[in-house]
Amino acid sequence: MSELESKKKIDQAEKPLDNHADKSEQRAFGAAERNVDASKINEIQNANPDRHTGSAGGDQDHSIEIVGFGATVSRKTKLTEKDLAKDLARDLARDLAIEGTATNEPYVLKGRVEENAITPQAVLEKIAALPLSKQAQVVGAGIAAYQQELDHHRFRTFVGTVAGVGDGLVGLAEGVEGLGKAMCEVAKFSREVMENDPRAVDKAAKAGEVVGQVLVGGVRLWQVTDAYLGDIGATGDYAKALKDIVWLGQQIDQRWQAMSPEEKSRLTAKLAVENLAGLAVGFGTTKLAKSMKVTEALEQLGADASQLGSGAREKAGKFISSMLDELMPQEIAVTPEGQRIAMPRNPRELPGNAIEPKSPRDTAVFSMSDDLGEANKLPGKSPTSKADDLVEAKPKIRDSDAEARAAIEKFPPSEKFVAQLERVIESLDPFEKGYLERNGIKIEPVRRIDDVRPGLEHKTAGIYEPSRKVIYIAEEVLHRGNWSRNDDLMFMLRHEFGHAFNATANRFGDWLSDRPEFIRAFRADWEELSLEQLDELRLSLKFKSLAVARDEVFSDLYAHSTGVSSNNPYSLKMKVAFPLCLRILMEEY
Amino acid sequence: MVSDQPAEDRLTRIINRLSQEPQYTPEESARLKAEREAAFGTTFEWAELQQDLTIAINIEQWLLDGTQGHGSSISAPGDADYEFLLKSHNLLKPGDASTIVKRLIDGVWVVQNDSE
Repeated sequence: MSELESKKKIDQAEKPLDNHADKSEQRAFGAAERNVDASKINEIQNANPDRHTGSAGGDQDHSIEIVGFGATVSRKTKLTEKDLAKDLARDLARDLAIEGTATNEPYVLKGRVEENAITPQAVLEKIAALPLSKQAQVVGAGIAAYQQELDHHRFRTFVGTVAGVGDGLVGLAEGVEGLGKAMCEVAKFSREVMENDPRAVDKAAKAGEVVGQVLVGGVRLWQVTDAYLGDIGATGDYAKALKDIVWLGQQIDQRWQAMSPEEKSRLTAKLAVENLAGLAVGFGTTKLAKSMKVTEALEQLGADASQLGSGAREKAGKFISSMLDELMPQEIAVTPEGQRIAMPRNPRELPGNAIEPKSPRDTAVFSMSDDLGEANKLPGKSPTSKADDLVEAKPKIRDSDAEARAAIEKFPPSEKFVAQLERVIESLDPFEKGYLERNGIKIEPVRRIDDVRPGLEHKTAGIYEPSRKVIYIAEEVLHRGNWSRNDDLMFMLRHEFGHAFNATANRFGDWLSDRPEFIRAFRADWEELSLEQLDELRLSLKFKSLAVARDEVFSDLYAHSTGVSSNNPYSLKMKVAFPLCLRILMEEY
Repeated sequence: MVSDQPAEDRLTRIINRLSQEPQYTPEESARLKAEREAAFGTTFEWAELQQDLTIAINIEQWLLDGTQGHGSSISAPGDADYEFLLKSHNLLKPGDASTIVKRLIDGVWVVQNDSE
């Protein structure tokens, strides 16, 4: 209550007293009092507790003055609050008058309410601004809070302390808990994929969306989880969930690295067109396509986007989500025959769903065999198969160099693999390289074998094609149900060289493995093996003729004779089973 | 001597050694060629359950034009193809091995009944 209001109330309270006085008595002092001397006046004034000391100048009539609101109130200028309000309203109306509005209209006080809340984006940006180690602590606390392992008062105090905003910012704490929930969902998705839980199928898109939102908030998800596991250790309170997220990142990077540069460019360009269209700013998607670790590149893209407006952030988030949707580990499905296979996210990855590109600029990702529709079913077979079971479709034979060349040019192996294979070729002995050159035998890197020779098993890592004298070495093979890098290049190349050497070295046409001396060595080794061993090595006559068996032994033992080791258990058995053949090829026999 | 390469060349020495005896007659060469061609259009998929319960796979494959393909892999428990390999090769205990044979018949790969 203002001082003016207090004065008014005092005035009203004094009125009853006035009523009891006659008109003459309505004065402050009676006649006797009016006719007093100066000493009496001083006595009365000295009795006034609000007496003006005179230090500020003026007299007792100005002992108290209230200055403001365009007026001065004192004992001499008595103004009520109502009087002041009228003046104020008039002045304000004059100041704020809109053209055509009467200034004496009732003044309407207008205002607005501003919600002092912190948005999810602001939470993420606040976290992103922290050092990685602190980000990790906050994220960990968010997970714990979500898992209700941390009471909310302690949680708010912790988050506020780490974030440097005190413990009163409830919105930030709630946002962090929301982030913790999102992280738990991503971790749960990772775990379900890891365990082939079919529930993961429904969560893939959501997980990608969540990660996209976190990244465009500027939070470097995988760097933070790495920081947590690195700084706090794998035994930290929240290590399990964060380990699962790290695993997911590794899987995404692996799938990215398994793609050829062309595939990466196509995928990035396709999703950029679909999601980033209309943005005036670039997000360095070309650079992203060339990155080795796509998770780091996406984190950088998210951090860049976090500095932009909400529209750009939303588009960047969708782009990231789409990228992750393509790259996240594939769900596992079970075929009618009981085989568990990775479910391609893009149906065009299935040979049976081959789709021709709509245009030369079609950015679809698929292998050559898919492109040409030459392998029409996934390789698979039933243990109870009958003779008329169809396990794969008709393979076509590419009958011209030009067609094979076109296949390689359209879906080339990665530059990295080409360089890797060149180094492996360089590691051949000079006489081997000379032999290849003199006999016109070429070595060609291909992305997948069935890009050039549809109908071959997807596990096939290398082939020798005698009609064109070409050895094809694959960059990718089907390992463990997924396309993986060919990790047996050194031995595989020498094995295929062995086939080429065996078939071409004798100028009279017979194969070296059919020459009498090799036949004798082979027979000697062969006779040492039991029928069970021969069956186990599929070398008995019920599997193949002796001429075919010798060719296989010759090629494999040739590769062993070069001193290069193999990681193929079957090949190691062959080495043990045919010591005499090996000694011939090593010139020790 | 069937090659004009230097004697120190290991490949040449192998060629020379294996070519010392008389060459085959055309009939003998044709028989050997026919033996090899009998394998065209065949796939052998060998699998063995290792002591560590991984499954070693080895693939040999011939297309109709004589192209030979090879591949190998190891599948561990939990891998996408593990259960299928275990079942299709009937691998019951470590050391068990089997070979599935497929033939290319009328353009399609057909599992043969004599597969092990």
